[in-house]
Amino acid sequence: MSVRPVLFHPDGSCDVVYDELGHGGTIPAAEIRWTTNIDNSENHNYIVLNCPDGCGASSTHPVGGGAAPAEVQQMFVEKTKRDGCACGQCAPGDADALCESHVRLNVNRMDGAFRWQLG
Amino acid sequence: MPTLNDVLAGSLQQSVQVQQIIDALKGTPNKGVPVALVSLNDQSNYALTVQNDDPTNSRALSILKADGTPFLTCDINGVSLGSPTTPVTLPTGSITSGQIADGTIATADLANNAVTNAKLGTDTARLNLLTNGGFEIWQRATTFSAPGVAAYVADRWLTYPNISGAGSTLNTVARDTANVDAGSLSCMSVTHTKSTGNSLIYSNFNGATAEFSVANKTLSCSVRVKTSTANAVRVSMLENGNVGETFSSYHTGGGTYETLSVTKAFTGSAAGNCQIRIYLEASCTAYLDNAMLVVGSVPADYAPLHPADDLARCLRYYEVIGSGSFFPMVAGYQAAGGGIYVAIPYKAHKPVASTITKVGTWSTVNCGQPSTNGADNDGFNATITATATGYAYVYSSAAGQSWTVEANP
Repeated sequence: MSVRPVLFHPDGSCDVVYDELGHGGTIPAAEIRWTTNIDNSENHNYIVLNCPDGCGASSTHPVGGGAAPAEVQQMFVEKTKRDGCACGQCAPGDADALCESHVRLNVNRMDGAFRWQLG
Repeated sequence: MPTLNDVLAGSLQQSVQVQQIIDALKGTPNKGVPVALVSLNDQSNYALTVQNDDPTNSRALSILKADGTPFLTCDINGVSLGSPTTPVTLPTGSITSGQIADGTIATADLANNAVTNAKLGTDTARLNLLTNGGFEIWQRATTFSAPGVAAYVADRWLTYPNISGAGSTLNTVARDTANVDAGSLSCMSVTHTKSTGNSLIYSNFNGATAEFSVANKTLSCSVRVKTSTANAVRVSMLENGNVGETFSSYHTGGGTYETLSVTKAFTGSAAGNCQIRIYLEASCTAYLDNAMLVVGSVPADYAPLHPADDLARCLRYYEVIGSGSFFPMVAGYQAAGGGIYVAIPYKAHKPVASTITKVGTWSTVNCGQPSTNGADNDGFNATITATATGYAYVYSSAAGQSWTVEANP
Protein backbone atom coordinates (compact mmCIF):
# COMPACT_ATOMS: atom_id res chain seq x y z
CA MET A 1 0.00 0.00 0.00
CA SER A 2 1.17 3.47 0.79
CA VAL A 3 1.01 6.04 3.52
CA ARG A 4 -2.72 6.38 3.05
CA PRO A 5 -5.39 8.43 4.80
CA VAL A 6 -8.04 6.53 6.69
CA LEU A 7 -9.78 9.10 8.91
CA PHE A 8 -10.26 12.86 8.69
CA HIS A 9 -10.57 15.15 11.69
CA PRO A 10 -12.36 18.50 11.97
CA ASP A 11 -9.06 20.33 12.49
CA GLY A 12 -7.86 19.23 9.07
CA SER A 13 -5.51 16.54 10.30
CA CYS A 14 -5.91 13.00 9.17
CA ASP A 15 -5.03 9.56 10.45
CA VAL A 16 -2.89 7.50 8.14
CA VAL A 17 -1.68 3.94 8.02
CA TYR A 18 1.25 2.38 6.24
CA ASP A 19 0.19 -1.21 5.98
CA GLU A 20 3.41 -2.83 4.86
CA LEU A 21 5.24 -1.79 8.00
CA GLY A 22 2.27 -1.53 10.31
CA HIS A 23 2.94 2.15 10.88
CA GLY A 24 0.28 4.74 11.55
CA GLY A 25 -0.49 8.03 13.19
CA THR A 26 -1.96 11.45 12.68
CA ILE A 27 -0.64 13.98 10.18
CA PRO A 28 -1.40 17.62 11.03
CA ALA A 29 -3.22 19.68 8.43
CA ALA A 30 -0.14 21.80 7.78
CA GLU A 31 1.82 18.72 6.74
CA ILE A 32 -0.68 17.60 4.15
CA ARG A 33 1.03 19.36 1.27
CA TRP A 34 0.64 19.82 -2.45
CA THR A 35 3.65 18.79 -4.49
CA THR A 36 5.60 21.50 -6.24
CA ASN A 37 6.25 21.90 -9.94
CA ILE A 38 9.61 22.72 -11.49
CA ASP A 39 8.77 26.41 -11.24
CA ASN A 40 8.06 25.92 -7.53
CA SER A 41 4.33 26.50 -7.96
CA GLU A 42 2.04 24.09 -6.15
CA ASN A 43 0.36 21.31 -8.06
CA HIS A 44 -3.28 20.61 -7.25
CA ASN A 45 -3.01 17.13 -8.74
CA TYR A 46 -0.76 15.63 -6.06
CA ILE A 47 -0.50 15.58 -2.28
CA VAL A 48 2.42 14.22 -0.28
CA LEU A 49 2.03 12.34 2.99
CA ASN A 50 5.05 11.45 5.08
CA CYS A 51 4.80 8.48 7.40
CA PRO A 52 4.33 9.87 10.91
CA ASP A 53 6.35 6.97 12.26
CA GLY A 54 9.52 8.63 10.97
CA CYS A 55 10.57 5.66 8.87
CA GLY A 56 11.28 7.89 5.91
CA ALA A 57 8.41 6.61 3.80
CA SER A 58 6.68 9.27 1.77
CA SER A 59 3.69 8.77 -0.51
CA THR A 60 2.71 11.07 -3.34
CA HIS A 61 -0.97 10.59 -4.07
CA PRO A 62 -2.63 11.65 -7.32
CA VAL A 63 -6.01 13.36 -7.17
CA GLY A 64 -7.52 10.37 -8.94
CA GLY A 65 -6.81 8.34 -5.86
CA GLY A 66 -3.94 6.05 -6.85
CA ALA A 67 -3.65 3.40 -4.18
CA ALA A 68 -6.78 4.27 -2.20
CA PRO A 69 -9.23 6.13 -4.42
CA ALA A 70 -12.05 6.92 -2.01
CA GLU A 71 -9.85 8.04 0.87
CA VAL A 72 -7.41 9.98 -1.29
CA GLN A 73 -10.16 11.80 -3.13
CA GLN A 74 -11.68 12.68 0.24
CA MET A 75 -8.30 14.01 1.33
CA PHE A 76 -8.16 16.32 -1.69
CA VAL A 77 -11.68 17.55 -0.94
CA GLU A 78 -10.86 18.18 2.72
CA LYS A 79 -7.65 20.04 1.88
CA THR A 80 -9.34 22.13 -0.79
CA LYS A 81 -12.14 23.07 1.60
CA ARG A 82 -9.65 24.03 4.28
CA ASP A 83 -6.84 25.66 2.29
CA GLY A 84 -8.39 26.36 -1.07
CA CYS A 85 -6.95 24.81 -4.21
CA ALA A 86 -3.35 25.27 -5.29
CA CYS A 87 -4.58 26.57 -8.63
CA GLY A 88 -6.64 29.31 -7.02
CA GLN A 89 -9.92 28.07 -8.40
CA CYS A 90 -11.22 27.56 -4.88
CA ALA A 91 -10.49 29.74 -1.88
CA PRO A 92 -10.43 28.71 1.77
CA GLY A 93 -13.94 28.60 3.09
CA ASP A 94 -15.62 28.23 -0.28
CA ALA A 95 -18.79 26.18 -0.33
CA ASP A 96 -18.19 22.49 0.13
CA ALA A 97 -19.96 21.71 -3.11
CA LEU A 98 -17.69 24.03 -5.06
CA CYS A 99 -14.56 22.45 -3.62
CA GLU A 100 -15.87 18.97 -4.23
CA SER A 101 -16.80 19.73 -7.81
CA HIS A 102 -13.37 21.16 -8.48
CA VAL A 103 -11.67 18.06 -7.13
CA ARG A 104 -14.08 15.90 -9.08
CA LEU A 105 -13.18 17.78 -12.23
CA ASN A 106 -9.51 17.10 -11.59
CA VAL A 107 -10.25 13.43 -10.95
CA ASN A 108 -12.13 13.20 -14.22
CA ARG A 109 -9.29 14.87 -16.07
CA MET A 110 -6.72 12.51 -14.62
CA ASP A 111 -8.42 9.12 -14.66
CA GLY A 112 -11.75 9.54 -16.40
CA ALA A 113 -15.31 9.99 -15.23
CA PHE A 114 -15.66 6.48 -13.82
CA ARG A 115 -13.01 7.12 -11.21
CA TRP A 116 -14.99 9.34 -8.83
CA GLN A 117 -15.71 7.32 -5.70
CA LEU A 118 -17.37 9.82 -3.39
CA GLY A 119 -21.14 10.04 -3.18
CA MET B 1 -55.82 -54.66 -48.29
CA PRO B 2 -57.00 -58.25 -48.23
CA THR B 3 -58.04 -59.63 -44.87
CA LEU B 4 -58.22 -63.09 -43.48
CA ASN B 5 -61.72 -64.27 -42.81
CA ASP B 6 -63.26 -67.36 -41.30
CA VAL B 7 -64.04 -70.04 -43.81
CA LEU B 8 -67.41 -71.59 -43.84
CA ALA B 9 -67.19 -75.33 -43.96
CA GLY B 10 -67.74 -76.57 -47.48
CA SER B 11 -67.60 -73.13 -49.04
CA LEU B 12 -65.55 -73.34 -52.17
CA GLN B 13 -65.85 -69.58 -52.71
CA GLN B 14 -64.02 -68.88 -49.51
CA SER B 15 -61.24 -71.36 -50.24
CA VAL B 16 -59.40 -68.41 -51.76
CA GLN B 17 -58.82 -67.17 -48.26
CA VAL B 18 -57.15 -70.39 -47.30
CA GLN B 19 -55.03 -69.95 -50.40
CA GLN B 20 -53.87 -66.58 -49.01
CA ILE B 21 -52.19 -68.33 -46.13
CA ILE B 22 -50.74 -70.97 -48.34
CA ASP B 23 -49.34 -68.29 -50.63
CA ALA B 24 -47.85 -66.49 -47.69
CA LEU B 25 -46.15 -69.56 -46.39
CA LYS B 26 -44.93 -70.56 -49.80
CA GLY B 27 -43.58 -67.18 -50.58
CA THR B 28 -45.71 -66.74 -53.68
CA PRO B 29 -44.65 -63.46 -55.34
CA ASN B 30 -46.65 -60.49 -54.10
CA LYS B 31 -48.42 -62.71 -51.65
CA GLY B 32 -46.06 -62.64 -48.68
CA VAL B 33 -42.54 -63.33 -47.42
CA PRO B 34 -41.23 -66.81 -46.73
CA VAL B 35 -40.56 -67.31 -43.05
CA ALA B 36 -39.86 -70.34 -40.96
CA LEU B 37 -42.74 -69.96 -38.59
CA VAL B 38 -42.30 -71.20 -35.07
CA SER B 39 -44.76 -69.04 -33.28
CA LEU B 40 -47.27 -66.56 -34.59
CA ASN B 41 -49.67 -64.59 -32.48
CA ASP B 42 -48.13 -65.86 -29.26
CA GLN B 43 -50.74 -64.46 -26.89
CA SER B 44 -48.74 -65.11 -23.75
CA ASN B 45 -45.86 -62.97 -24.92
CA TYR B 46 -46.30 -60.67 -27.90
CA ALA B 47 -48.88 -60.12 -30.55
CA LEU B 48 -46.34 -61.27 -33.08
CA THR B 49 -43.36 -63.46 -32.40
CA VAL B 50 -41.16 -64.76 -35.13
CA GLN B 51 -38.42 -67.11 -34.12
CA ASN B 52 -35.83 -68.60 -36.37
CA ASP B 53 -34.32 -71.71 -34.89
CA ASP B 54 -31.34 -71.70 -37.22
CA PRO B 55 -28.47 -71.31 -34.72
CA THR B 56 -26.04 -70.27 -37.43
CA ASN B 57 -27.77 -67.31 -38.97
CA SER B 58 -30.96 -66.75 -37.01
CA ARG B 59 -32.58 -65.15 -40.01
CA ALA B 60 -35.77 -64.16 -38.30
CA LEU B 61 -37.19 -61.27 -40.27
CA SER B 62 -36.65 -59.59 -43.58
CA ILE B 63 -38.87 -56.81 -44.86
CA LEU B 64 -38.29 -55.70 -48.39
CA LYS B 65 -39.03 -52.52 -50.23
CA ALA B 66 -41.15 -52.46 -53.32
CA ASP B 67 -38.03 -52.87 -55.43
CA GLY B 68 -37.05 -55.98 -53.52
CA THR B 69 -34.13 -54.46 -51.66
CA PRO B 70 -33.88 -54.82 -47.88
CA PHE B 71 -35.91 -52.42 -45.80
CA LEU B 72 -35.44 -54.10 -42.42
CA THR B 73 -33.49 -57.22 -41.62
CA CYS B 74 -33.17 -59.04 -38.32
CA ASP B 75 -30.61 -61.79 -38.19
CA ILE B 76 -27.54 -62.88 -36.32
CA ASN B 77 -25.83 -59.59 -37.24
CA GLY B 78 -28.48 -57.53 -35.51
CA VAL B 79 -31.13 -55.22 -36.82
CA SER B 80 -30.20 -53.61 -40.13
CA LEU B 81 -31.89 -50.99 -42.17
CA GLY B 82 -31.79 -50.98 -45.93
CA SER B 83 -29.67 -48.62 -47.93
CA PRO B 84 -30.05 -45.77 -48.39
CA THR B 85 -30.94 -45.66 -44.73
CA THR B 86 -34.45 -44.74 -43.92
CA PRO B 87 -34.64 -42.43 -40.91
CA VAL B 88 -35.71 -44.09 -37.71
CA THR B 89 -38.25 -42.06 -35.84
CA LEU B 90 -37.95 -42.60 -32.10
CA PRO B 91 -40.02 -41.04 -29.35
CA THR B 92 -38.36 -38.01 -27.80
CA GLY B 93 -36.24 -39.00 -24.83
CA SER B 94 -36.29 -42.69 -25.66
CA ILE B 95 -32.50 -42.81 -26.09
CA THR B 96 -30.62 -42.11 -22.85
CA SER B 97 -26.98 -42.38 -21.91
CA GLY B 98 -27.59 -45.99 -20.85
CA GLN B 99 -28.17 -46.94 -24.49
CA ILE B 100 -24.97 -45.18 -25.64
CA ALA B 101 -21.72 -46.99 -25.09
CA ASP B 102 -19.23 -44.90 -23.10
CA GLY B 103 -16.48 -43.39 -25.14
CA THR B 104 -18.27 -43.68 -28.46
CA ILE B 105 -19.44 -40.08 -28.91
CA ALA B 106 -16.78 -38.28 -30.91
CA THR B 107 -16.43 -34.56 -31.50
CA ALA B 108 -17.75 -35.04 -35.00
CA ASP B 109 -21.02 -36.25 -33.52
CA LEU B 110 -21.64 -32.85 -31.95
CA ALA B 111 -23.03 -29.91 -33.82
CA ASN B 112 -20.70 -26.96 -34.21
CA ASN B 113 -21.21 -24.13 -31.73
CA ALA B 114 -23.47 -26.27 -29.60
CA VAL B 115 -21.61 -27.09 -26.37
CA THR B 116 -22.77 -24.58 -23.77
CA ASN B 117 -20.84 -23.42 -20.75
CA ALA B 118 -23.29 -25.23 -18.50
CA LYS B 119 -22.20 -28.53 -20.02
CA LEU B 120 -18.55 -28.04 -19.11
CA GLY B 121 -16.95 -29.87 -16.25
CA THR B 122 -15.10 -28.00 -13.54
CA ASP B 123 -11.89 -29.56 -14.85
CA THR B 124 -12.27 -27.81 -18.18
CA ALA B 125 -9.53 -25.19 -17.96
CA ARG B 126 -10.81 -21.67 -18.48
CA LEU B 127 -9.50 -18.15 -18.28
CA ASN B 128 -9.20 -16.89 -14.72
CA LEU B 129 -10.42 -13.31 -14.42
CA LEU B 130 -8.78 -12.89 -11.03
CA THR B 131 -5.32 -11.49 -10.54
CA ASN B 132 -3.19 -13.61 -8.24
CA GLY B 133 -5.93 -16.16 -7.73
CA GLY B 134 -3.32 -18.64 -6.59
CA PHE B 135 -2.10 -16.40 -3.75
CA GLU B 136 1.41 -16.86 -5.10
CA ILE B 137 2.53 -13.24 -5.30
CA TRP B 138 3.11 -11.10 -2.22
CA GLN B 139 4.98 -8.01 -3.35
CA ARG B 140 4.17 -5.81 -0.34
CA ALA B 141 5.17 -8.23 2.42
CA THR B 142 4.57 -11.85 3.37
CA THR B 143 3.22 -11.38 6.89
CA PHE B 144 0.70 -8.83 8.11
CA SER B 145 -0.20 -8.42 11.73
CA ALA B 146 -3.77 -7.24 12.35
CA PRO B 147 -4.24 -5.57 8.97
CA GLY B 148 -6.95 -2.95 8.92
CA VAL B 149 -9.80 -2.04 6.62
CA ALA B 150 -8.99 -2.12 2.91
CA ALA B 151 -5.38 -3.15 3.48
CA TYR B 152 -3.76 -5.05 0.64
CA VAL B 153 -1.95 -8.20 1.73
CA ALA B 154 -1.26 -10.64 -1.10
CA ASP B 155 -1.38 -8.84 -4.43
CA ARG B 156 -4.97 -7.83 -5.25
CA TRP B 157 -6.36 -9.31 -2.03
CA LEU B 158 -7.57 -7.04 0.75
CA THR B 159 -8.66 -7.39 4.34
CA TYR B 160 -11.72 -6.08 6.11
CA PRO B 161 -11.95 -6.91 9.81
CA ASN B 162 -15.41 -6.38 11.26
CA ILE B 163 -17.46 -5.95 8.14
CA SER B 164 -20.32 -6.38 10.58
CA GLY B 165 -20.35 -6.07 14.35
CA ALA B 166 -17.20 -5.20 16.22
CA GLY B 167 -14.24 -6.53 18.12
CA SER B 168 -13.12 -9.19 15.69
CA THR B 169 -9.53 -9.29 14.54
CA LEU B 170 -7.65 -10.70 11.63
CA ASN B 171 -4.69 -11.52 13.82
CA THR B 172 -2.31 -12.57 11.12
CA VAL B 173 -2.51 -12.81 7.38
CA ALA B 174 0.53 -14.44 5.84
CA ARG B 175 1.97 -16.30 2.93
CA ASP B 176 2.07 -20.00 3.81
CA THR B 177 3.93 -22.77 2.02
CA ALA B 178 3.26 -25.58 4.49
CA ASN B 179 -0.50 -25.85 4.11
CA VAL B 180 -0.97 -25.42 0.39
CA ASP B 181 -3.55 -27.09 -1.80
CA ALA B 182 -2.32 -29.88 -4.07
CA GLY B 183 0.00 -28.52 -6.71
CA SER B 184 0.22 -25.06 -5.21
CA LEU B 185 3.37 -23.26 -4.12
CA SER B 186 1.83 -20.95 -1.57
CA CYS B 187 -1.49 -20.11 0.00
CA MET B 188 -2.86 -17.45 2.34
CA SER B 189 -3.13 -18.34 5.99
CA VAL B 190 -5.54 -16.32 8.08
CA THR B 191 -6.12 -16.42 11.79
CA HIS B 192 -9.35 -14.81 12.87
CA THR B 193 -10.65 -14.06 16.33
CA LYS B 194 -14.37 -13.49 16.32
CA SER B 195 -16.12 -11.15 18.71
CA THR B 196 -19.37 -9.94 17.20
CA GLY B 197 -18.19 -9.05 13.75
CA ASN B 198 -17.45 -11.09 10.67
CA SER B 199 -14.29 -10.35 8.75
CA LEU B 200 -13.34 -10.57 5.13
CA ILE B 201 -10.61 -11.36 2.71
CA TYR B 202 -11.75 -9.96 -0.61
CA SER B 203 -10.74 -9.04 -4.13
CA ASN B 204 -12.23 -6.40 -6.38
CA PHE B 205 -12.90 -7.02 -10.01
CA ASN B 206 -14.28 -4.24 -12.03
CA GLY B 207 -17.44 -3.69 -13.89
CA ALA B 208 -18.58 -1.98 -17.03
CA THR B 209 -16.72 1.30 -16.82
CA ALA B 210 -13.34 0.32 -15.49
CA GLU B 211 -11.24 -2.76 -16.10
CA PHE B 212 -13.63 -5.06 -17.88
CA SER B 213 -17.37 -5.43 -18.07
CA VAL B 214 -19.26 -8.08 -16.18
CA ALA B 215 -22.62 -6.51 -16.93
CA ASN B 216 -25.21 -9.08 -18.01
CA LYS B 217 -22.75 -11.90 -17.49
CA THR B 218 -23.02 -14.92 -15.27
CA LEU B 219 -19.82 -15.52 -13.35
CA SER B 220 -18.73 -18.40 -11.18
CA CYS B 221 -16.01 -18.26 -8.60
CA SER B 222 -14.42 -20.98 -6.57
CA VAL B 223 -11.90 -20.90 -3.75
CA ARG B 224 -10.09 -23.77 -2.15
CA VAL B 225 -10.35 -23.49 1.63
CA LYS B 226 -9.01 -25.55 4.50
CA THR B 227 -10.10 -25.12 8.09
CA SER B 228 -10.99 -27.28 11.04
CA THR B 229 -13.82 -25.05 12.19
CA ALA B 230 -17.27 -25.83 10.83
CA ASN B 231 -19.43 -23.04 9.43
CA ALA B 232 -16.61 -20.53 9.74
CA VAL B 233 -15.75 -19.83 6.12
CA ARG B 234 -17.84 -19.23 3.03
CA VAL B 235 -17.53 -17.30 -0.19
CA SER B 236 -19.75 -14.72 -1.83
CA MET B 237 -19.93 -12.51 -4.89
CA LEU B 238 -21.66 -9.16 -5.13
CA GLU B 239 -22.02 -6.08 -7.25
CA ASN B 240 -20.79 -2.64 -6.41
CA GLY B 241 -22.72 -1.13 -3.50
CA ASN B 242 -23.40 -4.48 -1.83
CA VAL B 243 -25.97 -5.39 -4.45
CA GLY B 244 -27.15 -8.95 -4.88
CA GLU B 245 -24.70 -10.77 -2.65
CA THR B 246 -24.79 -14.50 -3.35
CA PHE B 247 -23.18 -17.04 -1.03
CA SER B 248 -21.58 -20.44 -1.28
CA SER B 249 -22.11 -23.12 1.30
CA TYR B 250 -19.89 -23.16 4.39
CA HIS B 251 -16.74 -25.17 4.74
CA THR B 252 -17.58 -28.26 6.76
CA GLY B 253 -14.64 -27.83 9.09
CA GLY B 254 -13.27 -31.20 8.10
CA GLY B 255 -9.68 -30.02 8.19
CA THR B 256 -9.03 -30.67 4.50
CA TYR B 257 -9.26 -28.52 1.43
CA GLU B 258 -12.78 -28.09 0.10
CA THR B 259 -13.95 -26.12 -2.90
CA LEU B 260 -16.36 -23.34 -2.02
CA SER B 261 -18.08 -22.02 -5.12
CA VAL B 262 -20.79 -19.57 -6.01
CA THR B 263 -22.43 -18.51 -9.27
CA LYS B 264 -24.04 -15.14 -9.79
CA ALA B 265 -25.81 -13.46 -12.70
CA PHE B 266 -24.64 -9.86 -12.79
CA THR B 267 -27.09 -7.20 -13.81
CA GLY B 268 -26.82 -4.85 -16.74
CA SER B 269 -25.87 -2.08 -14.38
CA ALA B 270 -23.05 -4.00 -12.71
CA ALA B 271 -20.12 -1.60 -12.62
CA GLY B 272 -17.41 -0.44 -10.30
CA ASN B 273 -15.94 -2.72 -7.73
CA CYS B 274 -17.69 -6.04 -7.91
CA GLN B 275 -16.18 -8.34 -5.33
CA ILE B 276 -15.34 -11.87 -4.34
CA ARG B 277 -15.54 -12.11 -0.58
CA ILE B 278 -14.20 -14.84 1.66
CA TYR B 279 -16.11 -14.52 4.92
CA LEU B 280 -14.62 -15.50 8.26
CA GLU B 281 -17.60 -15.93 10.54
CA ALA B 282 -16.05 -17.69 13.52
CA SER B 283 -12.74 -17.79 15.31
CA CYS B 284 -10.58 -20.02 13.18
CA THR B 285 -7.43 -20.55 11.25
CA ALA B 286 -8.15 -20.87 7.56
CA TYR B 287 -5.99 -21.50 4.54
CA LEU B 288 -7.09 -20.01 1.24
CA ASP B 289 -5.74 -21.14 -2.10
CA ASN B 290 -6.40 -21.42 -5.82
CA ALA B 291 -9.27 -19.01 -6.41
CA MET B 292 -10.89 -18.90 -9.82
CA LEU B 293 -13.36 -16.49 -11.40
CA VAL B 294 -14.75 -17.54 -14.76
CA VAL B 295 -17.54 -16.54 -17.09
CA GLY B 296 -20.35 -19.05 -17.03
CA SER B 297 -22.49 -20.99 -14.64
CA VAL B 298 -19.97 -23.75 -13.95
CA PRO B 299 -17.05 -23.03 -11.61
CA ALA B 300 -13.64 -24.06 -12.84
CA ASP B 301 -10.84 -25.89 -11.12
CA TYR B 302 -7.81 -23.71 -10.62
CA ALA B 303 -5.61 -23.39 -13.69
CA PRO B 304 -2.28 -21.78 -12.87
CA LEU B 305 -0.83 -19.11 -15.08
CA HIS B 306 2.74 -19.14 -16.25
CA PRO B 307 4.67 -17.28 -13.52
CA ALA B 308 5.56 -14.51 -15.95
CA ASP B 309 1.90 -13.92 -16.73
CA ASP B 310 0.92 -14.18 -13.07
CA LEU B 311 3.46 -11.50 -12.14
CA ALA B 312 2.61 -9.34 -15.14
CA ARG B 313 -1.00 -9.13 -13.99
CA CYS B 314 0.10 -8.07 -10.54
CA LEU B 315 2.52 -5.47 -11.88
CA ARG B 316 -0.39 -3.74 -13.54
CA TYR B 317 -1.47 -2.63 -10.06
CA TYR B 318 1.63 -2.62 -7.91
CA GLU B 319 5.35 -2.74 -8.43
CA VAL B 320 8.55 -2.17 -6.53
CA ILE B 321 11.35 -0.21 -8.16
CA GLY B 322 14.79 -0.84 -6.81
CA SER B 323 15.65 -1.99 -3.35
CA GLY B 324 19.24 -2.75 -4.21
CA SER B 325 22.57 -1.10 -3.69
CA PHE B 326 22.68 2.12 -5.79
CA PHE B 327 19.38 1.35 -7.43
CA PRO B 328 17.35 3.46 -7.60
CA MET B 329 19.54 6.54 -7.88
CA VAL B 330 18.88 10.15 -8.83
CA ALA B 331 22.03 12.07 -9.66
CA GLY B 332 23.26 15.13 -11.49
CA TYR B 333 25.29 18.33 -11.39
CA GLN B 334 23.46 21.46 -10.43
CA ALA B 335 23.88 24.90 -8.96
CA ALA B 336 22.91 25.41 -5.35
CA GLY B 337 19.15 25.25 -5.00
CA GLY B 338 18.72 23.84 -8.47
CA GLY B 339 16.59 20.84 -9.15
CA ILE B 340 17.64 17.58 -10.75
CA TYR B 341 14.85 15.60 -12.37
CA VAL B 342 14.69 12.00 -13.51
CA ALA B 343 11.77 10.36 -15.29
CA ILE B 344 11.19 6.84 -13.97
CA PRO B 345 9.18 4.50 -16.20
CA TYR B 346 7.07 1.74 -14.71
CA LYS B 347 7.55 -1.92 -15.51
CA ALA B 348 3.89 -2.17 -16.46
CA HIS B 349 1.22 0.27 -17.61
CA LYS B 350 -1.15 1.11 -14.79
CA PRO B 351 -4.94 1.32 -15.04
CA VAL B 352 -5.02 4.75 -13.36
CA ALA B 353 -2.56 7.38 -12.18
CA SER B 354 -0.44 5.92 -9.42
CA THR B 355 0.53 6.63 -5.86
CA ILE B 356 4.31 6.72 -5.54
CA THR B 357 5.84 5.83 -2.19
CA LYS B 358 9.48 6.30 -1.35
CA VAL B 359 10.29 3.56 1.13
CA GLY B 360 12.90 4.21 3.78
CA THR B 361 15.47 6.95 4.17
CA TRP B 362 17.92 6.91 1.30
CA SER B 363 21.56 7.91 1.31
CA THR B 364 22.18 11.42 0.04
CA VAL B 365 25.09 13.50 -1.11
CA ASN B 366 24.60 17.26 -1.45
CA CYS B 367 20.81 17.00 -1.47
CA GLY B 368 17.81 15.93 0.54
CA GLN B 369 15.48 12.98 0.07
CA PRO B 370 13.93 12.59 -3.38
CA SER B 371 10.43 13.80 -3.99
CA THR B 372 7.88 13.13 -6.67
CA ASN B 373 6.14 15.88 -8.53
CA GLY B 374 4.20 14.08 -11.15
CA ALA B 375 2.94 10.59 -11.88
CA ASP B 376 0.62 9.05 -14.38
CA ASN B 377 -0.17 5.59 -15.68
CA ASP B 378 3.28 4.98 -17.16
CA GLY B 379 5.86 6.63 -14.94
CA PHE B 380 6.72 9.41 -12.57
CA ASN B 381 9.16 12.24 -12.11
CA ALA B 382 11.67 12.04 -9.25
CA THR B 383 13.37 15.19 -8.03
CA ILE B 384 16.23 16.23 -5.81
CA THR B 385 17.52 19.71 -5.07
CA ALA B 386 21.25 20.37 -4.88
CA THR B 387 22.25 21.91 -1.57
CA ALA B 388 25.43 23.44 -2.99
CA THR B 389 26.76 23.76 -6.50
CA GLY B 390 28.20 20.45 -7.60
CA TYR B 391 27.24 16.87 -7.97
CA ALA B 392 24.22 15.80 -5.98
CA TYR B 393 22.79 12.36 -5.73
CA VAL B 394 20.50 10.20 -3.70
CA TYR B 395 20.44 6.44 -3.81
CA SER B 396 19.20 3.29 -2.23
CA SER B 397 21.89 1.89 0.02
CA ALA B 398 20.11 -0.93 1.78
CA ALA B 399 17.49 -3.53 1.18
CA GLY B 400 13.99 -2.14 1.38
CA GLN B 401 14.92 1.34 0.14
CA SER B 402 12.85 1.60 -2.98
CA TRP B 403 9.91 3.20 -4.69
CA THR B 404 6.61 1.44 -4.77
CA VAL B 405 4.01 2.23 -7.38
CA GLU B 406 0.38 1.48 -6.68
CA ALA B 407 -2.73 2.00 -8.76
CA ASN B 408 -5.97 0.44 -7.59
CA PRO B 409 -8.88 0.97 -9.93
